[in-house]
Amino acid sequence: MSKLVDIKGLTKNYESITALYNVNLELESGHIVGLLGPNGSGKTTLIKILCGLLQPTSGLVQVDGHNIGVETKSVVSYLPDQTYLDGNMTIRDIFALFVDFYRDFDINRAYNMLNVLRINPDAKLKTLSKGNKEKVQLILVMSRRAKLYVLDEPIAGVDPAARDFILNTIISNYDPSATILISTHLISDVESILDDVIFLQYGQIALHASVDEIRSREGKSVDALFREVYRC
Amino acid sequence: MLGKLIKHEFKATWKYFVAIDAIAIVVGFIAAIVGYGVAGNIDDLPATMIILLSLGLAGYVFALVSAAVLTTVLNVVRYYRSLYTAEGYLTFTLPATTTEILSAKMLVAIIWQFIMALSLFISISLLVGSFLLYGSIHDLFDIQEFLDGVVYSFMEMLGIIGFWGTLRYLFNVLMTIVFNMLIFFFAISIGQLWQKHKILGSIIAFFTTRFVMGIFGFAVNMMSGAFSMLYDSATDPGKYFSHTTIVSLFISVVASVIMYVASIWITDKKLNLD
Repeated sequence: MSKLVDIKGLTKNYESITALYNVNLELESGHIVGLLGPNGSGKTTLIKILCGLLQPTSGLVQVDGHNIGVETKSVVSYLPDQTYLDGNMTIRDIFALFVDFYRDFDINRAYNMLNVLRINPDAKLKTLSKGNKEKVQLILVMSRRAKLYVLDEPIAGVDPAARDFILNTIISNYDPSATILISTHLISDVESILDDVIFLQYGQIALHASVDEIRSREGKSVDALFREVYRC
Repeated sequence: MLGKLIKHEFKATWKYFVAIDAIAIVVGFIAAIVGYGVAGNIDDLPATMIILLSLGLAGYVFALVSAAVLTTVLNVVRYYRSLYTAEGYLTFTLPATTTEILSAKMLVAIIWQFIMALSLFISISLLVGSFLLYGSIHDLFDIQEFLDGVVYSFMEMLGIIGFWGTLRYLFNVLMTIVFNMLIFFFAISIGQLWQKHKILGSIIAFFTTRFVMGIFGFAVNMMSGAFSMLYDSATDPGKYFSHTTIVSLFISVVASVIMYVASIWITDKKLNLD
């Protein structure tokens, strides 16, 4: 398996606060990886650095053999943890924008998913409910044939039905040669789809192992282990 | 990639700016019709009508000033929002360089500012033109004589004489717009260096930059001998205006290049979208 993500000695400071400290991480292609940890553990910071939205204080971060830049952005599909699109744009406009900028964006797949949800492509984003906004954003992200999908809290704050749709969309659109990095603290909901997990604690990697390994070694689910590791 | 960024920036903004520009021209057109209608009998109008016309004129001026201010505000807010708020998550994950992204945003904003300036010119020209037309039709004065006299003297003073003079003046207007907009963009970039209160940081950076530029411009003008020319301005105002225009142009170009490069460098090296 090829090394898709390569992070060495990554540190990120916010003034006096250290969000990430000396993180070393390698991810291979073809895995669904859960990035797990409580609030403030550094999940979003790590994700934003991978996507080029934050500058590391020190360390090396590479995706697909390139430092973060134009090359990596063209192979990374990112879903932020909040609405990030201009509310005045229609869905059709947003699709057109993605077609223009991302060669790997499959517009037919996007419209098919939209049809399933019965969302009007001419609707402005600001007129949609929170759940539908999240779904549209997920459609955009999963309609790309990216090498790395980075999903930041994709199922947080949505109802169980929307949660099922989101997870089904992720699974059904998953290209086995790609890697999906899912940040969440709703572990029981995603555990069944994960191959590997990364536990982040105080800005450092506390555990990086496969789900099967955890189950056989610890004799418990990832969710149970998480509750044990992060017990308050 | 730059072309695509510019295309989508225009697509996202054209409705607002075209509407504002159209309003500026339409109010000029209405003012011109009213102006033409009352030009000949202004002395015979009742007092209430004079008051209404005065209010109308004040409203017209207010509309033009509002249009200009609104254009600038919308451009600055759009620039900030699309780069440094949640919308920046999309903008900065597009496969484009920081230089391309910021250049596209800046260029489109400057084009809208320039079109706004053009719309104001058209609007005011319509109003002034209506009076000239009335005067010409009713033989109140010779329009050619007016153009050759008052208008020519004014244009000569500003250096708008001949093809190159006009071109230089237009370039000067353009550079003034570029310079003023870049102060906003530069200040926003500086504000991003603040860990918290980034908007406050931008506002402080804006006024500080303005202040420094003002002092610098004054110093350069003084050193270049502009103020000694001012004593001769009664006899040769064109020379003073021409000199200060060239000095200001030089300062605008140099400062704009510095602010452009600095804005991109700061965003490229220090971007932190919290």
